[in-house]
Amino acid sequence: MSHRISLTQRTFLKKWIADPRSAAQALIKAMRESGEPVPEIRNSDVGDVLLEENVLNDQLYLVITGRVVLTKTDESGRTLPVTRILPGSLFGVLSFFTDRPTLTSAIAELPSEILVMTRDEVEAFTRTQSVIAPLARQMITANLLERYHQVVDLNLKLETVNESLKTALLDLQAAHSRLVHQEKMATLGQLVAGIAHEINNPAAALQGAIRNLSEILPNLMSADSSIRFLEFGQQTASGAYTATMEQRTAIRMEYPDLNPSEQRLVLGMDERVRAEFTSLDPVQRSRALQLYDAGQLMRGATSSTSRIANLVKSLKSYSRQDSGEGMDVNVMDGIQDTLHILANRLKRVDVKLETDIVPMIRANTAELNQVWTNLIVNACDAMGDEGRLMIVVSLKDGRIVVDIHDSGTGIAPDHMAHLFDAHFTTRNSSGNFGLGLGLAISRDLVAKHNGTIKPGKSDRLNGAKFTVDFPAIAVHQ
Amino acid sequence: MTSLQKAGLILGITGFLLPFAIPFEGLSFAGHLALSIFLLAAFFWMLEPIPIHATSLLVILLGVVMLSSVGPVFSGMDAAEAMDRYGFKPGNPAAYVGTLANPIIILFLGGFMLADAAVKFNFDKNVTRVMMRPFGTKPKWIMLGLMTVTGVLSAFMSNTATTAMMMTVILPFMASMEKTDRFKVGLALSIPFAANIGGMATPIGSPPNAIVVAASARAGHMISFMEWVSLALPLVILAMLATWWLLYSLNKPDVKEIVLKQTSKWNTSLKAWLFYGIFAFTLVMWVTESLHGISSNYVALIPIAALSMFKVMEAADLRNLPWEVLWLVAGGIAMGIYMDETKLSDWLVSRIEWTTFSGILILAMFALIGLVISNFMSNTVAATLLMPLAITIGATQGADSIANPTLLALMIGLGTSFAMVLPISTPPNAIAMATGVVKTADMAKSGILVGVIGLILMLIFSVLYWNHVV
Amino acid sequence: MKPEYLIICVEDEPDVLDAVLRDLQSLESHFIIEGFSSADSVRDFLTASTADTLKPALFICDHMMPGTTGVDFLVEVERFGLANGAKKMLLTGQAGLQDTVKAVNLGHLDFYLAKPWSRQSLLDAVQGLLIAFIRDNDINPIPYMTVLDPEALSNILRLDRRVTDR
Repeated sequence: MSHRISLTQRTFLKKWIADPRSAAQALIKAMRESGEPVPEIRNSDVGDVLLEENVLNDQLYLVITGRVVLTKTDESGRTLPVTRILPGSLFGVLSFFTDRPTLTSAIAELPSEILVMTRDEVEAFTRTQSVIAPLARQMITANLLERYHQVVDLNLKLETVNESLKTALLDLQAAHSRLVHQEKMATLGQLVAGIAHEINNPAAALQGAIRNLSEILPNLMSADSSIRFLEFGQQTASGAYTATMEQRTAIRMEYPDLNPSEQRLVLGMDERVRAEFTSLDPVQRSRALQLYDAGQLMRGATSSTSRIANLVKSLKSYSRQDSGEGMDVNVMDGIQDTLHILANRLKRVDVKLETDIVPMIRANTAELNQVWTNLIVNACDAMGDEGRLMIVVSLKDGRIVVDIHDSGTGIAPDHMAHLFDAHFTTRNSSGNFGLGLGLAISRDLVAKHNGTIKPGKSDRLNGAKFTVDFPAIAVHQ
Repeated sequence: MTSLQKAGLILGITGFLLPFAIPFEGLSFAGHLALSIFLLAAFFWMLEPIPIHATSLLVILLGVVMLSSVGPVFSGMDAAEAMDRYGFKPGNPAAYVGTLANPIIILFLGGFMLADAAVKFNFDKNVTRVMMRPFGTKPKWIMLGLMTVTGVLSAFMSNTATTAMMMTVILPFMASMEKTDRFKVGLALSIPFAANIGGMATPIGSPPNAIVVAASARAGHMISFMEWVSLALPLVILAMLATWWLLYSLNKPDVKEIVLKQTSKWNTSLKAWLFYGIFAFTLVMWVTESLHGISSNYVALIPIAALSMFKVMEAADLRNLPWEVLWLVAGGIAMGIYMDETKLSDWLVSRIEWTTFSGILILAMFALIGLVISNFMSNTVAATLLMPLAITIGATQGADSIANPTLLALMIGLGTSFAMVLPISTPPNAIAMATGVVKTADMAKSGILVGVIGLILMLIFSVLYWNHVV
Repeated sequence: MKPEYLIICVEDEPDVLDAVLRDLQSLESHFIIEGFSSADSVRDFLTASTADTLKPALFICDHMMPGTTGVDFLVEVERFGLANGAKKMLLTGQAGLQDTVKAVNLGHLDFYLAKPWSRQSLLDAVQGLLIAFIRDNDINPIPYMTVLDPEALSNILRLDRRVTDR
């Protein structure tokens, strides 16, 4: 009797939630005791399909023992498990009560005993005044509650998975950008090396031609003393454009017969040459000036070609493609090449280099140069291309430390934490925009060389300071 | 400042002080004062340590200070007392300052207004385009056409502006000619020469004409617009033809054909039409003076008033007028008044017994002097310096003589306009020289020949024509 | 004639400056052409006593220079009244859009010529600027007719009447 009472009470719901299997058995027992016809109990083997997906369903199923899996077929035709039904739980509930096609198939996963109730039987249980009716209703409610719990859990899991997927995607993108950048730099390096070679040849030919020309020219001309002025012209750069106004006026007064371009030539001469020029008679003077002018032109050509050659040399070593292992390099060489390449950007920046004699490091030149380029360009940006830049190379505790100071605006405290984030940038979109990859890539490249990179405040120039350090390798004797 | 300008400054100041230091016999006290002004002005005008229009204003100022009844010299002295002590009636300052609004100045102002409006509406370019049509493409006739147009325009506009405009017409063509073609030189000279000659055709054609009209008026004969044209135009036509023949003979062309590219269009705005109307009306009034009797000087007020009234010429255009030319002329007129009133010119003239000279010799002499000296100085200045003397001598010769004041004035005025030997002789010459096509020798040679032709023509005209009508 | 107007060229590379001056040689009979290797030396020159007798007619300025940029220099020249009606030209390969806009708006830049230039394009530009300088500053154009376009100068004479009959 007590058993009955307990079953009729609302505690059945709690009991079911705590232990669905025994609650279900209690229910079946109550059914049998009620005298009503007991529904069919079906014995299923593993793999038996109890209910098809997407069909109309007229029966309600209760798992008594064993286990049933609900599956759904997706668009590509794969059958995926959705949830597992354990003893004491119902399935086919939604399709049964809503008369809509089933959402899932039900397949026995273990040998199972399933209570199958037809619509008439269910209606009989719920209609009669017997004690079964409330129990049945409560069990259905309990089943729906259980399912709802599962949905909440699932959503929670889904969100977590989404989050980690997002992070993974961002990481992938950054990695991709870096790879593209590296690839670009590598391609650029190859291009530059090729072009450098192509430029070097004509530059060298030009240099040779001028050298030969300056040897041949004097022989072609009637030899008199003024021929020396061809040589003089080649020897010294003209000082005409740095001359003070007093000097310019003095020359004008001293040589009133010469036209302004000739006066400019005389103004450009050094003391010794000018003295010799003054000692000439007027006819010789005019010839001497022409020769001097020719010499100056040749000098201009020579210095221009050697500038081309030097630039090409820097370009080549700047973008040198090393083998994967890297090689022993001097940090200073790379920094100097970088400064040379960036000379135009640094025209209005006062650059100071301070260096100890430091051992070599094992590194990939091009990668290291990317780091220097990035840090120097950032410094230029921070000071609007005008100010002071100081690069200090020193040896501390077996590590080579490179400090790059600038006189710019420094790093804002709220930026400090994000400096190395991929795509972090302080450049606005209207200016020359970078990829925002600079510092992130630099950190990777430095890390690859077992180094570290740290931002800070410059104690020497009141701007920002970036400190890069690498382990020094033993000097090869 | 060049050394010549420095010399002018020193000579001018020395000349100014000289009459104070050395008393001249037979010259009154006022005559000494006027001589001071005259010497200062003469050196300043000739050597130009300051701009010539500035010298003119200085002349007016010095006249008011030294010779007028309000200046420190004669103030507080009534006319009778001054007459008594110095034999001089102090001048009326309003009359001295009034030279700035002398009727001939007003005539010029009217001319300037019309000329500037003409440039503003591209009237000058359109007239050139239309007038050049009948002259075809043969270099010979093109040159005559260019000279004719230049002459006509410079009779009403400034010779300089006309030359500048005509240069824009011929320069593109000259650039396409062979470097060795002499005809380039001929073309480059034909424009300034024609402008100089054309400036003689009307009283408003050139500033020395104003000095002539003003001097003649003081001597008692007011030359009207039409009278001037009837006297000068035949001479201008003959001189123009002679110059054309001369320049063409000296610079025969290699090119067979000349096509001038001109693209200007008639301005048909309302203001332009107003200008065309005012211009035509003024011209008709000038030419018909003998019918209605209104002096051409006062007719000139019509374009001045009408062009400003209808805003055809706006304030900015008025500001842009060559006022300094008017000042230059006014100073010249004032100098003549001082020399006349103080009897300075009588005294200067009395050094020589002029009645022994024949009238034609006197005419020839003044024309020659005018012609020669204005090659080296401003035409207006040359006329100004010679005019008081000539008028005084003319007066001694009598109105019936060939060397009467009006004819003498005319000879000097036109003589200065025939001066075109050097680049510095006239601004049109300077422009031609600046193109780099003409060498100084070319200009000098042609210029001397044109001067001689002009001198001979003027003398023939005085004997055969002018003598009988003036 | 004795030149009284200056063409001031500022360029930090002597070889390039030399090339500019060589291209402008034909103007040297009528203009004083001075080359300077930095903006500082021009500044000294413009504020020195020589500036009383010589007036600048044209500044030809490189952009990328040590010290001041060309654009900043032109802005400064304009702001401190050192230009006095002189024309300004930027001869550069490196001024970006922003710099150029600044030069035009604040420095009243008159011309922009990109490096490398051809002699003819430089001469044409300089001629045009000098003619504009003569037109805008009430200078008698007659002496300049041999070196600058005489047709343009004649038209200035015709329109502006700065030379009159006398």
